[in-house]
Amino acid sequence: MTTTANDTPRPVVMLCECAGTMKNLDFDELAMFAGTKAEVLRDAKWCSRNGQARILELMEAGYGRQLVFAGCSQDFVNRRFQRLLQRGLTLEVADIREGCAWVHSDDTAIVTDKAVRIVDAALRYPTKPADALAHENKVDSVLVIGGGVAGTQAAAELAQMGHTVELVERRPFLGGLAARIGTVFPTNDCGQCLPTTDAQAGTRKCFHRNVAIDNPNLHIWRRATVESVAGKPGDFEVSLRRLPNIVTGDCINCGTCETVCEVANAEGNAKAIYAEFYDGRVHRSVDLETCTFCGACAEQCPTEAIDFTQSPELATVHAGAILTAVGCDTAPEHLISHLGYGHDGVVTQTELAELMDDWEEQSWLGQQPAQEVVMIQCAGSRDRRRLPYCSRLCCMIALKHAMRLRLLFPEMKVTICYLELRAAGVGYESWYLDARRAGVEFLRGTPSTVQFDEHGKPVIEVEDMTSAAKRLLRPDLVVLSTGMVPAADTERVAGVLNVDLDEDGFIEILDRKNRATETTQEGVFVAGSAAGPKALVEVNTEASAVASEIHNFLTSAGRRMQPPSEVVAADCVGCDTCMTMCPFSAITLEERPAGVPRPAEVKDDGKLAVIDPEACHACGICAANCPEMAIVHNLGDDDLFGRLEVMIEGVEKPIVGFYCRECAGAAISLAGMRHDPYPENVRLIGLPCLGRVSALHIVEAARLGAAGVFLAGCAEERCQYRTGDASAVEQTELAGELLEQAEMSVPLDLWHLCAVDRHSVGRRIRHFAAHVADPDGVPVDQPVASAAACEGGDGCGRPSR
Amino acid sequence: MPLTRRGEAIFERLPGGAPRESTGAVGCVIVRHEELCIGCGRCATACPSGASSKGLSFDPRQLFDAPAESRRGALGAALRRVARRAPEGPIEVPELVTTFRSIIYDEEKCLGCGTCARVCPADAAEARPVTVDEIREKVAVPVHAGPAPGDGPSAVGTSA
Repeated sequence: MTTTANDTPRPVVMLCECAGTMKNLDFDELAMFAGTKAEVLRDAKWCSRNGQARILELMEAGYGRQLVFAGCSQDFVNRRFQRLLQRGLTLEVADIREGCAWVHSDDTAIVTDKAVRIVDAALRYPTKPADALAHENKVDSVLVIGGGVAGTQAAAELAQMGHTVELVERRPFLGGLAARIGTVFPTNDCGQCLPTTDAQAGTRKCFHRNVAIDNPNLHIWRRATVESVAGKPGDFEVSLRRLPNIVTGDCINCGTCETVCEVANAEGNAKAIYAEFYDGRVHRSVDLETCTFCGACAEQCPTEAIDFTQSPELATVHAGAILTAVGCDTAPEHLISHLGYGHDGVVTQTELAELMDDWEEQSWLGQQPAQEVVMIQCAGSRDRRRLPYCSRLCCMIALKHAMRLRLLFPEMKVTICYLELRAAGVGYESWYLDARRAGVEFLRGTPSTVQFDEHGKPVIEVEDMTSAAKRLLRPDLVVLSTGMVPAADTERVAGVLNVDLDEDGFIEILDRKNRATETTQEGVFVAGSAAGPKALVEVNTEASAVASEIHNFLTSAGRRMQPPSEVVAADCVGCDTCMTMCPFSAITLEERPAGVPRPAEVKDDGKLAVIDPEACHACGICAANCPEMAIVHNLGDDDLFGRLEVMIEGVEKPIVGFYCRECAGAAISLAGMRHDPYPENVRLIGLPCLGRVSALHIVEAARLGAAGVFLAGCAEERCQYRTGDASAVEQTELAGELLEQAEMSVPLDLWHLCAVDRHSVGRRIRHFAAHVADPDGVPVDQPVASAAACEGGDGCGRPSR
Repeated sequence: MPLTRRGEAIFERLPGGAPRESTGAVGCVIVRHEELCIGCGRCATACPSGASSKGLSFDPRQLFDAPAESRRGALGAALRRVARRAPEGPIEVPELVTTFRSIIYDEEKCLGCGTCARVCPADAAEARPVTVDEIREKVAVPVHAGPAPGDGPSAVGTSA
């Protein structure tokens, strides 16, 4: 699949001698060979100031010519020529340094022959240049789903940065769970602080004092839900459904309406017109489920702030990016009913917080003969039948509440039944010690049930693991430290946004190590407890982090796009293989438009796979799995076959190494920098992702005479393209099986590497080569640190024995 | 035609090779278990080539053979109890009825992509791996340019 047309000028090979460090290469011979196919320019050091100036001249003069750089590895080129690459330089790299001269012996003839082949492969089977950007044009606005602390804080920061923000909250009031729980750890004050604007003093400001939420860029949608999302990253079209709040912004919180209202809500704890949490904008709202619309409140309202003429509305907004901050909820009743929840005298920590915050309730607490309180940790958590995970907050919440109870009621006996206390955070350990000093009893062991005596008083039988003795507790109040579950709407929102959920039902983050605010869908971000229960300290950090992340996304020029894979309509039968394999949901099956070619065997209404070029990451997984070979990757099958042939034809017992240019590429090129030697018959083929390899390529390598094939990809479960590794494992197994049946078996191996494996990858390759040379003498399954293969010495990376 | 294009490309290079497990990548043979089929027609919708299609008739014997513990098995047993005589064959289904329809499977049209087996909720479409003989019928002249099996190992590091 060469792109050279008849009238295009000869390609240019820039031969770099790398300041004389490649002494085992005969550059005259290399230049003579390259001269037969291209114009050759030699330089002792192309990355020097003079060399780069020459390249600049070449870029200006030789526009449209194919440039092949024969020298160091792609990774090194990317850094050394970074500024020229940014100015539009497109280079095909032939790695004759780390991939050849630096890792091979002094046998000039053999090493030069390999270098010639590397240059030949780059000249004849070049990859397409990555010269386009994905998501270049973006709408400068953000949709934030969820008006809890995470969502509101991120929305306020984004509005301050100058972006238009649509903040959508399901309930009538902002503030989320943090507004309900009162004081929070580790500061023991309220959890409602938000970032301030320049117009305010730089002190903490809670929801009702904070004018940052009044930023004209920030639009708050109360009682609104996201119905559907269309469009693409950078320009989503979002349908919103909003229920009326009835109470308008003219409300002055006199409370007249509540006194005239005669309807109670379903729980019976408030009127149909009610106040829940003052988020600085709206005091009251109307419970539309119970309100009889009698209009009494509207008649009495002194400011005419009650408007019953409002009706539900549907609206469409455009957003460049979407932030999900739907938060979490406390575990539902059925997960803690085994611990007596539902009986009098058993409450959750959240309910206890509400009891303690409200003085009336607090006095109830004080008036009760509540002499003894028992807190049960991990209530429903870390339990395979209930919540299998640790919610991480409950330990600290229990400590906070235990200390508060001891402070409010010094006579009260507080016992915490726990299995492990997880107090890891800044200042957390001192809280634990403080609680001990405050006289809280810590009992190691949690009860499996809570029973009740004839007076309805809780009875708890628990084994104290420290003293190995049974204890019988008869508390007045049992407090369950319940875990957190995804907010009720999480699954639906995830479906609308097309993002994945993790095994616990929270929004899945893209990478647990360093991409905690991105979801599996480009342009959709996540912050706070939507991605798993989090303490407020982490929520605040994440909200700010995601705001800058979204700002970067909206203001960046766009992601540099590898040339996307293309579907050959005449070959595509419209099965669902590519669609199910694509890790980026970039492929859809669509109606075949009239006039588009169709394979003869496909039925009349047969579908056609369509690849969204901007969503495609060009990993090649679809191309490697398409049964009909109807998908052409930018490194096509013919290019790969060609490269294989150029690299190994006529070589005695060649070993083919397919490697991904991500993590395995880093390990291999770093090993090359360390001059870690391996035999010359090892021929490497670089790929964007190991998922590009199909069983067909391995079979073709064997057919061309490869004596062994290894594949090197990213660390296990850490494939940069998510499923490429799994696909490669499957294809390797299939190839191994087929080769075995055809009695053409060659040693096959698949390695998971990351940059730290630079010390061992050379040894691994040497060992594999030794195994290929002597399959019976050298076992294949002890690749690292095998005495038989490790020659020790300078390049070995291990201390010699 | 149970081999896909990728399958053909592979087996042209591999005389005597055949997959042990079914895989849509190289092709497969579809075996239908009518007694398990619930007639939902997902295979017919998903099939690229129209090898599976919804029929105009329904064969009540499918119900008699259905697993006894399934709803369809129970229906078959009930049918057996009330029926005066055994049905002779497929019966025509009125146009409005969508569920009780037998799937017509036309092997001639099958591409071997295995999509029907992937989408079938009842395991009624099974993808069986293609056998060496079936591959031989399709791929006539295998090319074999690799080294003859049994070549002795040679020293590492010698090339060209």
